[in-house]
Amino acid sequence: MTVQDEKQLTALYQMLGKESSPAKLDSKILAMAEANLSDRSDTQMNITNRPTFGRKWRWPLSGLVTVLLVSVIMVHQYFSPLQKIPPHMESAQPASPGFMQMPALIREQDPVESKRQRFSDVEAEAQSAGDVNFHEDMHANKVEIIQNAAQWRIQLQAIDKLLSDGKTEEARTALTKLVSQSPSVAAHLSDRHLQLLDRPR
Amino acid sequence: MQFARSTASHNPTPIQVQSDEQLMLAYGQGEIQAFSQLYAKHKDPLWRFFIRRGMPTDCAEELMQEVWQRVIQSAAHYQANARFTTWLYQIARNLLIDKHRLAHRQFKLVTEHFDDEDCSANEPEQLVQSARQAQMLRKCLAKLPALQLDTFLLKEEAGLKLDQIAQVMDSAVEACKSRMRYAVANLIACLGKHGEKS
Repeated sequence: MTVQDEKQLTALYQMLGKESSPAKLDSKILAMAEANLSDRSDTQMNITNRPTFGRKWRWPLSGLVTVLLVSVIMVHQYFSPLQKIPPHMESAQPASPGFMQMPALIREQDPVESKRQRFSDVEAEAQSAGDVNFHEDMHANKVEIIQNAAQWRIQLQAIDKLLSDGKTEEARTALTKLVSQSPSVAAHLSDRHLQLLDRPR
Repeated sequence: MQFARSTASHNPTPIQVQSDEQLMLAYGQGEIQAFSQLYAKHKDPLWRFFIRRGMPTDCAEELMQEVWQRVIQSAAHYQANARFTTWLYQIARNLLIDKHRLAHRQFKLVTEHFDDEDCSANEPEQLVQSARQAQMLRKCLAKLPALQLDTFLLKEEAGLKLDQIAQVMDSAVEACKSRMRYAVANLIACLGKHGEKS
């Protein structure tokens, strides 16, 4: 057997009829391929439409987290040692729920700290009381100044009217009286008033 | 590679020249056109592989359908690790073996009297001689042992090389080489014998 024999055989084999697969079979197989594609796309669609774990449990989980968070905040506030109750409120503290009682309990456990805290509370209260008085004085002064200014304006208007009526002497007397009663009005006098005061009788 | 040339001419105007593996991957991604191209390229050689293996037409049809069904089902997960043709004929041969195992197929014996009716008396003598030889080859092929026939058909129809045939048949390259040598020797002997008789 030689390579030549093999080539001759190959040539001879190629002379055999070239049978083809039946057309019916071809169309059947091609339809099968198409059906498989559409099945796959349907499956893919089902997979994408199926609710995921996150989507399915979104609301229950968020609700649970909210409840947990609120609970943590409440517990934190309930046991917080930084909770301060002013002494005057402490005396008025009713036998209310543990929410307000708890800090008092903590203070009882540490009397030294409690005393120190009370002292600082009293100090702070005194300070705040002093501040309130100061602010009240300031407010009263302001009101007085405003009232005085209004009075001066009225009196000065009256003096102006006397001057325009030609009653110069009366105007001078009234102005002199006003300046002697309230020296601070001098800062608000016009040139006309000053001339009246300077002019010899 | 006779088959490769013949299949290339079978596909008249491919839009884009793609390898079998690329076509298979494209089909895996949903391109039916790629499958059509792939099927058109391989359907006839595969059909002849079954027919020349002595399968009745209805049996060959069944096998063809099974082979392509497996190809279609594997498309979504297909990875171009091996040559597509090798994979395709591996499936075909495994199914064929299963079928034979079930049917206890016996190889057909070559009939002593050749059918000369196909050969026209008016054709030139050389052509008539060639046609007669081809007819004889068909009968001699049917006489070959299964492994030698598979080796020969995989080379002639699928256009596979010896190492690829070895892969399809799950045997050593040397064994395939030896089978091919025996197949050619047996066919030549068969043809010579019948040539002398005629």
